[in-house]
Amino acid sequence: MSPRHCKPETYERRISEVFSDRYVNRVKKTDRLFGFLLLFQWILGIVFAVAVSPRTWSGEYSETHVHIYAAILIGGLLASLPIYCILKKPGATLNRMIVAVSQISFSVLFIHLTGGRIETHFHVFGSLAFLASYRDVRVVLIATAITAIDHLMRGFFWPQSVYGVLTATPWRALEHAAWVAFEDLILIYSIKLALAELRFTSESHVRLEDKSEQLSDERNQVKLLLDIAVIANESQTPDEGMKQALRLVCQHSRWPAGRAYVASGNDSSALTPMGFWHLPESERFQAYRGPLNEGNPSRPTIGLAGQVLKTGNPIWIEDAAQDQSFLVRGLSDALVIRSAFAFPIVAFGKTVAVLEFISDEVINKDNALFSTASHIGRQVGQVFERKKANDDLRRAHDEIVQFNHSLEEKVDARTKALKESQQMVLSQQQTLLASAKMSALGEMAGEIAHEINTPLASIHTLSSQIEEVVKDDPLDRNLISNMASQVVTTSDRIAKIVQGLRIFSRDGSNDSFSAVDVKKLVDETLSFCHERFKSNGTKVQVSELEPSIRFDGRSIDISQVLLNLLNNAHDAIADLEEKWIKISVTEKENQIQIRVTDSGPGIPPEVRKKIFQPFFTTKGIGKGTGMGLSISLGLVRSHGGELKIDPECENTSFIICLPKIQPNKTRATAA
Amino acid sequence: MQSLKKYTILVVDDDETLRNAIAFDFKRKGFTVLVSESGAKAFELVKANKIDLVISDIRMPGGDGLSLLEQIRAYNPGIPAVIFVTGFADTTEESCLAKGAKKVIAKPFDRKHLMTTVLEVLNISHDTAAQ
Repeated sequence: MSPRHCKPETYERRISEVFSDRYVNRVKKTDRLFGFLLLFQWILGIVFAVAVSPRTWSGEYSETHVHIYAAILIGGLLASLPIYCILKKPGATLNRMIVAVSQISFSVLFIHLTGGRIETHFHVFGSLAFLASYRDVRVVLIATAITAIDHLMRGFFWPQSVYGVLTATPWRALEHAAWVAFEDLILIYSIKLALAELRFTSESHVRLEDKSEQLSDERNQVKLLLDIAVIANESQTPDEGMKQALRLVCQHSRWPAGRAYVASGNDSSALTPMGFWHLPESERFQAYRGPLNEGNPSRPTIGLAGQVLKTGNPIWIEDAAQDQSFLVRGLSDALVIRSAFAFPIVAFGKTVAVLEFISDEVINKDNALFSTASHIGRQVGQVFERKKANDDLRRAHDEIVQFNHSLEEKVDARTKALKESQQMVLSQQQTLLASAKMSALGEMAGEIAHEINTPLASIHTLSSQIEEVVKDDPLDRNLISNMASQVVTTSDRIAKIVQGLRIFSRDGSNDSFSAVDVKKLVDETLSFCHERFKSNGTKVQVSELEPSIRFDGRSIDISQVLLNLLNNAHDAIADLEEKWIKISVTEKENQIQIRVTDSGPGIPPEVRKKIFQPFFTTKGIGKGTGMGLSISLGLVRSHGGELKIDPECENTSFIICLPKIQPNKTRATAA
Repeated sequence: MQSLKKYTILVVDDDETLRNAIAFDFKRKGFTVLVSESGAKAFELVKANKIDLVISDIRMPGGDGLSLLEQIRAYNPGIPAVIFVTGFADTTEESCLAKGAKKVIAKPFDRKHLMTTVLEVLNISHDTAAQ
């Protein structure tokens, strides 16, 4: 399994470190062991010397054997130097070399001291085996070399010392050498195995260490992401979110300092450095403050942050000294930037800001942090998105509030305008009513003139004739009387017509309601337009009316309505062959109905719907105002009555329905 | 008196009082007078009699004055007519003259003015008339 977390060379170095640590540790233990062993062997050598030949006879003198002195002196010499070295510098490489020389020298010494006894030869094998525990081939080889030299030298010059005999065959040396070589082979092989194992365990150790470091890093990244998620949720403004993100990234990584840029310009192609940093308290970073701590104006996309904005991807520069492509510009000379790392803050699918981290030391690319950067960027981006959403919401809310406010104002204004226009409509209605009357007056002016002028001409002629005939002799009294009575009758006719003019001469809307005689009303109205119907040959037929039929109302109003209906009938049938108008009055419970029917073919349904609307007219331009029926309807309704068309009638039939009794006689007009 | 008897004047008006009053004056003066209440009946009289002058109202049921004028002109352009007009809405004086009326007189009129006008139209001198 290849190491994932750190670089291969770092990994190897680490393994070597662990290996040598362990090796040295072991060597130290072995050193200590040999220290005791050498001491023990020294003492043992002395004990042997004393036990085997404490004294020697030289003639008759018994004196202490020279071996005892040799054991004490030589053993002491052999043991003391390595022990000193071991105590002085445990684990040093030289120690084990000295130990090897010393230990094997003890074997040589023992062989010598026992006079080449075979048992002591085994000490050589033991020593080699013990020395092999140093796991150092050199140690074994040194020991082997020394014993070989010793054997050869002594076997040649002093064989008794080695083999216990005065003469030894060369085969003897060869046999010993063969045994030693055999053991060396075994020992060297086992040393190799042990070293390989140590290396393997070191590697495993490093791998585990690496793994746990990786796990710890990942946990760190997870923690970082969780923390970022929390600040992304809690931050109210993008600035706050970015500040917190800078702080958290620095806390969770080796980056000492960080700052933020916000995309600006129309198309977000420029960056504006924000006025805040995350800096450690340490003095050496204070140089980062100063020129760059200002909120510089936006600048084009250069430098590391600019590249991040352009590419939308995180960028990690391990050593700026070796990467000229990304200069973090404008920084203080006082502090060199060696490493830099930047990643985008992404919101609405685009880069809205860049977080940049810088260091005065080389920071190797942290793959975990690098891959986490995009997540961090999106998390912090949410603060931007939320801010915008909040802003939009607030704006929408403000707009609604504003709208409501202006709506109220508008409603007030409209209500006011409506009231004003109602007033205007009311006054216009009054004016229209008057002008409609005037218009009708105009229409009838000819008839009125004719109606009055003809009797006037009669009166004038008759009076003038009376004047003349009274001078006759003989005086024709009958003639004069006849003429005079004709003048009276004709005057009455004029009076009746003039009375009919009331309809136009007065505004009756303020008259109080009084009992109206229907027969009189119909007669008066008819007398007024009698001439008109007569002139075009319209037969007017009035059903027999009982003089007692009365209703509460304003006779001028109803007379005008009736006149309007009669005029309409007149105009409608003017071009027909058959011209007649029938007026009938019926009494029904509390209501009277005045019906005006003419010989016309009836009103088409589509016209019927609109006929009571103001300004609706079927008459030619300049002939009708379109107000007649609309005003008539208003007048009838002001009496609590109704003006309608009889849809059943095959001719044209209008009905004026009026209540006989008004609940309130001084009722105001609806118009 | 004898001399005016040969002139026959036709008075047309739907108003009986006025019609008779006018007729009274011309009969008294010595003219032969015929009366009619409508234009239609008047034209029958024009056809049936030798009429020298027509005095007619404009507005009448059953044939108005203008129609009568047209009929007379078509029948005998030589018969002169004096026409009465009444109100503002009536046919104008000009249109009456255009249709062949000799004179147009507005109602109400002065009977002496009517007499003078008729005598003028008939080319009768006041002296002759006074006899």
